[in-house]
Amino acid sequence: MSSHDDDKAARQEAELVRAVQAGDTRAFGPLVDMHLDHLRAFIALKLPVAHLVNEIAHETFVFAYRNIHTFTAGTSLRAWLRAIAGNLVRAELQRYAREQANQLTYARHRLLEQELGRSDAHDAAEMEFLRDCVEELPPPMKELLALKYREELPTEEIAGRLQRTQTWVWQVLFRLRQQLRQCVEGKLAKVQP
Amino acid sequence: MITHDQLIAYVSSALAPEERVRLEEQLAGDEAALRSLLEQERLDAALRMMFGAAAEREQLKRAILDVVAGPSYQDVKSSVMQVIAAPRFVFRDWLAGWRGILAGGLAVAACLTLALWVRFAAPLPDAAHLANVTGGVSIVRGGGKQDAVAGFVLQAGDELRVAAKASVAVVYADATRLEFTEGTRAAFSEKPEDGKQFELALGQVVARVSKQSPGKPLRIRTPHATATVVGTEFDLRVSTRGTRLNVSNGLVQLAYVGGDKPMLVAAGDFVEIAPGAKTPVPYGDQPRDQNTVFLSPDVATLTGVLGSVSVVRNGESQTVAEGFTAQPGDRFSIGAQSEAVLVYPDKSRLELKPGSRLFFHAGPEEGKQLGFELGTVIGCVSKQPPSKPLRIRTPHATVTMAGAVFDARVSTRGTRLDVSEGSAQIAWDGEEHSIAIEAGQFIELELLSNKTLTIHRRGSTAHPPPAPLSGGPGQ
Repeated sequence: MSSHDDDKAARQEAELVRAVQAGDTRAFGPLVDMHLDHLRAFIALKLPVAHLVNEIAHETFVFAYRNIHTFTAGTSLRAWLRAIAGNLVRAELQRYAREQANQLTYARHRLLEQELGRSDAHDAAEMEFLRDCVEELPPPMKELLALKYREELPTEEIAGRLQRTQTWVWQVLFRLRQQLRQCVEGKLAKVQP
Repeated sequence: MITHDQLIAYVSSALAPEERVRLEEQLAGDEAALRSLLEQERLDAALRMMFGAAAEREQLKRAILDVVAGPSYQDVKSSVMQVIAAPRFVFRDWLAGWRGILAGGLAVAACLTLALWVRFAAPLPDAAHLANVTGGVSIVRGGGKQDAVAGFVLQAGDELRVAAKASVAVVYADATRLEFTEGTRAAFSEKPEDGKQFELALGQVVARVSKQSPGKPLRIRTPHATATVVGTEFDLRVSTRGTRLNVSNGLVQLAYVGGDKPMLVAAGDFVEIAPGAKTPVPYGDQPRDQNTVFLSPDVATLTGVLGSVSVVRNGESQTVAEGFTAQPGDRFSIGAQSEAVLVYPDKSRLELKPGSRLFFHAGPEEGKQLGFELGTVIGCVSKQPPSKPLRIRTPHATVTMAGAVFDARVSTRGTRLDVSEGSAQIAWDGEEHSIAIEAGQFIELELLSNKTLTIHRRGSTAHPPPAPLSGGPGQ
């Protein structure tokens, strides 16, 4: 996206925020559209517990709507939403650790808390880079990801469509995720020395 | 040392349960492997969101906007308090005051509006149209009869006639879908200000109703009853033998013609009303006679949602909204700044506070049984059959009540129960010990570090002998 497009989007966002602040509930819909995908992926990276991602995204937007009068139109709504979601993730992690007091949960909790210490800029970049890294994959690998994540097909069916074994699908998906992780880290290292 | 292949098998859910447990024990002590696992899970979750199904995204968006456009926290709270505590509103008294004069004026204005509307009859409010027309389907409009075709837009006053071996669907802009089968006669008499309404004189409709505005439910009148729907799926049949309603999802309110007490019919239940039926038969063990009525009193429906409420059903989590019907095994999770109200057909009501976790244990035949794992529940329990009291299990105790207003709190430190009306029985230590809590009393079972319980009651610090707790958290 060019800086001109960025400016236009920012102006449009500020107008929508002002409209919501003035009481126009309908203006909140386009704001949800603008940030929902990004926020869900951001939460998923922080707290990879599938059923909590949508719950926290929902709560983040509802909180943002109820507190929209405290937000300064023209500043970054996305950063504000991320901050709200980060706090909710933190609270959820603490509750999760309290409820599921076993060793593995404790160890997971400790590592996930380290993730929370990362800066917003790091998180935002990580998301963008993940998108770029997926784009850079060869078409057969993109197809595999689409079958797995867009069409949500069971492994058996993916294997059938690609004429491979289930074990092949498991292994390739595992390696693909590793590869994407390395790709994202490589890009992060370039911009955040 | 955890091998690469073991990790792949674990991430892919390809391990046998016992192998999985063994590997998890190892993972707890292997930080490198655990970090690798978390990276896999993070990427998996992020990719799922990035590629995620559009339908799930739209559902989430709708859920957010429903809350944004819905009532405020204060509105929900005051409506809950009104139902629980406020004196019943009596229309006759209200009309007797100065408001009666105002109401009279408004009624005249409404009649004038109605007369104008009838004069200039318009298409139905949501531009309902016909689809899937099979066989002989006709429309009677203004005394004339015409064959119906797909895409035909209905108008107020139209009568739909479905011949033998024919069928047709009526589809509204909000995706509400009414499927009429052979032999149906349905007259659409709705008015824009009243929501979707029609009379089903004969035949069958299978309906899938999108969520309607609270003040504008879908209403179906039959010669024997009126069904009122806010959003659900059901099947309604009318014959000369009566009206039969079968609800497959959600909740339908059904009122007998001439009856004064509408009843709520929940998912999985059906009601049959014979011609001339006047008295609703309450749920319970009554034999089925000509007014066969079977209502499950133990299926709760969400009637108020503020913020984020999710339910895990069959291992899958979903964000839920008003109208959602709880099933045995459902695990409700209330968001940190959210609240929800669950209502049973017998008007028993549970208000779930932020952060609460509630589990539905039993099927209708076992009465109302809940697992309350964490948080705060304020409940108003209608009188229950003595053999089927409401039972709430917490990690520390079991609470039983046949009719009470209460406030229960569960934390990792223990369980507290306040009873403000009626009474409850609380039992602990495998139900070996129990105490009756009367109105105005509270009890607090506090879990000590040595895993024993200490008990506090209103007006007394004398503790019964500490009892070892079995199965509590931390064990």
